[in-house]
Amino acid sequence: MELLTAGLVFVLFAGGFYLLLQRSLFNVVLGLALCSHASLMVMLAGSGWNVEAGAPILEDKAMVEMVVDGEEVTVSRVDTEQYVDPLPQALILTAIVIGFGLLSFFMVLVARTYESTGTIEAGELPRENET
Amino acid sequence: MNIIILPILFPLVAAALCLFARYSLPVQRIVSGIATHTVLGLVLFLAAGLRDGGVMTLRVGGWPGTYGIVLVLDLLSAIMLVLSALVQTATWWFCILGGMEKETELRYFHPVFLLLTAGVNWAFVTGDLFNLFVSFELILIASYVLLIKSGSPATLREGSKFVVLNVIAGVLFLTGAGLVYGLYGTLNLADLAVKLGRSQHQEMVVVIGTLFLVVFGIKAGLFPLFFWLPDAYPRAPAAVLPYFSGILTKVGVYCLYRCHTLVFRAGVDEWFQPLILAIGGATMIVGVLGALSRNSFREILSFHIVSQIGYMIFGLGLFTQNGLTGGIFYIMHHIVVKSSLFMIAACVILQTGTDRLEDLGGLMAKSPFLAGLFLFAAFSLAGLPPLSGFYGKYVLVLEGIERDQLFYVVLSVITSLLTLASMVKIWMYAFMGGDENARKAALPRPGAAWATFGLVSLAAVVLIFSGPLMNIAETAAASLMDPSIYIDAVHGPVETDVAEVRP
Repeated sequence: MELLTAGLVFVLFAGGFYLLLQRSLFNVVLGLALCSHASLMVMLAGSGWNVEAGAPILEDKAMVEMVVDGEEVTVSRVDTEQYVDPLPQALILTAIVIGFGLLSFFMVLVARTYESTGTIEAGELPRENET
Repeated sequence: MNIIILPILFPLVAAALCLFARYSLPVQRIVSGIATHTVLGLVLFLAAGLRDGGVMTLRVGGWPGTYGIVLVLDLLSAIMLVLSALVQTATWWFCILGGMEKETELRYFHPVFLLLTAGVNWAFVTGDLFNLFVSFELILIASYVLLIKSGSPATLREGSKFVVLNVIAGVLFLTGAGLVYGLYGTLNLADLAVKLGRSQHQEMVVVIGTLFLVVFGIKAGLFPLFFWLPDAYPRAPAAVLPYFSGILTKVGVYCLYRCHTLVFRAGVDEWFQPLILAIGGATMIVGVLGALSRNSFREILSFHIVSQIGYMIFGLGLFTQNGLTGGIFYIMHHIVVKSSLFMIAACVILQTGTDRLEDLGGLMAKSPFLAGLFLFAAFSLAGLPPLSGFYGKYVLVLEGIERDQLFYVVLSVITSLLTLASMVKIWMYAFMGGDENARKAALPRPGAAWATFGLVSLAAVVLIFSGPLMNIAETAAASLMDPSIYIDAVHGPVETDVAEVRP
């Protein structure tokens, strides 16, 4: 599992950076998408490697009252090895939404660039204020 | 203390309200003005409460310990909040007094600018890495819109570069956050400081710290990563440039000051100190050489942002009480003075329609008011002795000599002289010179010049109260040098003293 994830991250980053180095802005957008997926995979790896582990849906009887920092809270006394850490997935969900917003903005930018300059090749875009 | 969240909430709510008032400029101006001035009052109040040190925390949702979202405000954050609010207020007045086209202002300026300031304030008070990431993305989306909507083809070219580089920084940030969470099981800065301090694997601290150095370096415009900045900034609308130049890059600098004194402290001695010093030195000299090669008001000033970030990083690289004091004072001085200079450039563009030095000339005769403001701000920036830039540099240079970093001291002095040279260049081309006829026609003073006057007066305030401000910088630096105060406030007392990792 570790090797598979690591390999996937490698492939996504390698492909992403290859596309980022292309001259066409459209390829750059795709490259950014691949790179952000790679970073999400890195984040997902933070959940741990136990493929047998289930979703952390805890029964009431598994909870005990405890005092943390002077406040009474309910914590689980279950074996944490049985469960996946759900936090990275919540973080990834947030990151996906943000990444989607950014990519769609950048797509609009590329479309806008094509509209006003007639090209999406980075090298052919006009340089200075001579228009 | 729930009021910590208000500097984020006010601009967010006001931005939403402004979107509802899309067709009414007066309503947008009033809503945005109320939010801006309330935030200014609020952050001044917060900063006044923290001026002797101390840390305020807000556990959003009431989660115990470090599991939930924690907002943290210490003196350094409060200083940054105040500076951001001051420049934001000046920008608001600049627009009200006619510094921006009515059409642009009506269509998108107020909501987007408010979102930008909400993101910046968020970055300054957040206590964990993931919220920092989210606030960075909010800042970036808002700044892309402000940068690119002005819309000439050349803007699209430089704008794409800006977008791509900053998205890459975001990807690296997320990767770094993923690695940190996988290794230490937390993203809270105070919790990380404790866990990394105890970590047996110092090389991991170095690896992750370097990754974050790259991320914040792209945001701040450090030496090998700065090249998007001098190309993109001169193309942003003149009215938002004071905020861009003053605050946005300083978000990166703030994060470096925060993370590399708190979280990655364990790797400071053998790795980060020499690295950051070298980057600081290179940033200073490369920035100023770039500035000398340029021929337009805004391009020269943009390169100077890079050069001066070098001084701030030099202060961080010394990693001593006095070094950090000098660095923090320099940040205060720089934000006020740099924003003033960009606002003067914006006034010049309003008056003449250009900022290319060869097309300008004789502004001294045409507009002595602006010329006076420029002279004061430019010499402050260069750090001529009685002016405010001098004190920050003086502290840094003294501390550099004390720590035997003579090479960087010499570099910083050379940079200072070159800064002066390029300011004199702007002065000679834009303000002196010009032919006889051009000199006779006095130009009307734009109303927005009064907003500029306000900001330059702030630079004078920094000069007059440089003593008390230096004391505040010293207190802020002391709390960076002793992170146990911050950690105790967020994390609760921990068994081992983290400050012992590096005395």
